[in-house]
Amino acid sequence: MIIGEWIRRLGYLLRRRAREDELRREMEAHRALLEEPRAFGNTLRLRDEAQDAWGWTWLDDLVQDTRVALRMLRRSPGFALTAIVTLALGIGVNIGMFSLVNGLLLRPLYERADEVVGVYGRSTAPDGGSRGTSYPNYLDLREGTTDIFADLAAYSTIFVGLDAGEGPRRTMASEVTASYFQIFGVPLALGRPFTAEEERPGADIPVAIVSHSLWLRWSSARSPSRFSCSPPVDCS
Amino acid sequence: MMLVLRVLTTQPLHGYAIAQRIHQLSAEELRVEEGSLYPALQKLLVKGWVKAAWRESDSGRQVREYRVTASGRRQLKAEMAEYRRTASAIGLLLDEA
Repeated sequence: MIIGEWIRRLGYLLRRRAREDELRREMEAHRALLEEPRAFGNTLRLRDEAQDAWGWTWLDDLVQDTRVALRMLRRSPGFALTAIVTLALGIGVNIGMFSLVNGLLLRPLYERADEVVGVYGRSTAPDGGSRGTSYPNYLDLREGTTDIFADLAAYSTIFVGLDAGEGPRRTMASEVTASYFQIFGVPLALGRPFTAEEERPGADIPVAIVSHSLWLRWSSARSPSRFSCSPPVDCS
Repeated sequence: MMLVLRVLTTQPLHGYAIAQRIHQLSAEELRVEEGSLYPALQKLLVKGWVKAAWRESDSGRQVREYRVTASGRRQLKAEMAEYRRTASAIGLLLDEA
């Protein structure tokens, strides 16, 4: 019923000139038949009212208002320019602010964040808090929970000395297992993730993955593919 | 709108004839601007309760004739039932008082 009504409304809109003409002819014929034409009422007002029934008056108003607005703007270019610049700035600032908030606060860093859990050891002492896990324990845990977790990674926060050309600087870093980047689904911009061989304790293979911002800072100072590092981090 | 629908159920009519019929049926009591029939007719067309078609009248003029559709008849029936309910309720109230 509602859909039929909309189809009729659209049909009217498409053949509007003809339909309005029809109505005008019809009303004029009726008026001409009356002995007292004044008994018909105000023809123009009644015709407007009749055409309103199809619900397209707002479209006429919109077109008319737009025309008037454009004419006014053309007449005072100074005002037009000020208005346009003000709007542009307002919209621009809003978009900028939104992308910032969206990127930092609204969008999760990791798409499947609800599937990631932290696993911690707990002290057996009565008031014991969470404890770190040794590497062998991590291996056991990983092997024993294959039916619970899709994968497991371990990390530990460390400090390393990095030389960005102004002498070594104390820098925060993470020691992570090879599975780390795969679990968080973080694609590397350059190079490769760690291998199982590099993960093994005592392997003594000096490899590191640096953040994008650090890489940018370094590459502004020197060639992007060659860094200068000091122990325990070295790069080759 | 209900009056127009009611008049059209007996036979298809053009605007002038509808005005005449309403005038006669209401025993010359209802006297409104005849032109106000047209906004009502357009609303009936939007609702799909009547259909309009051009036809040559007996006197050879082109007239636009309105015909009630099936959904128009249903609407009239519903509105008349509603009207009778309201009227009888008011009647009861007046008798009580």
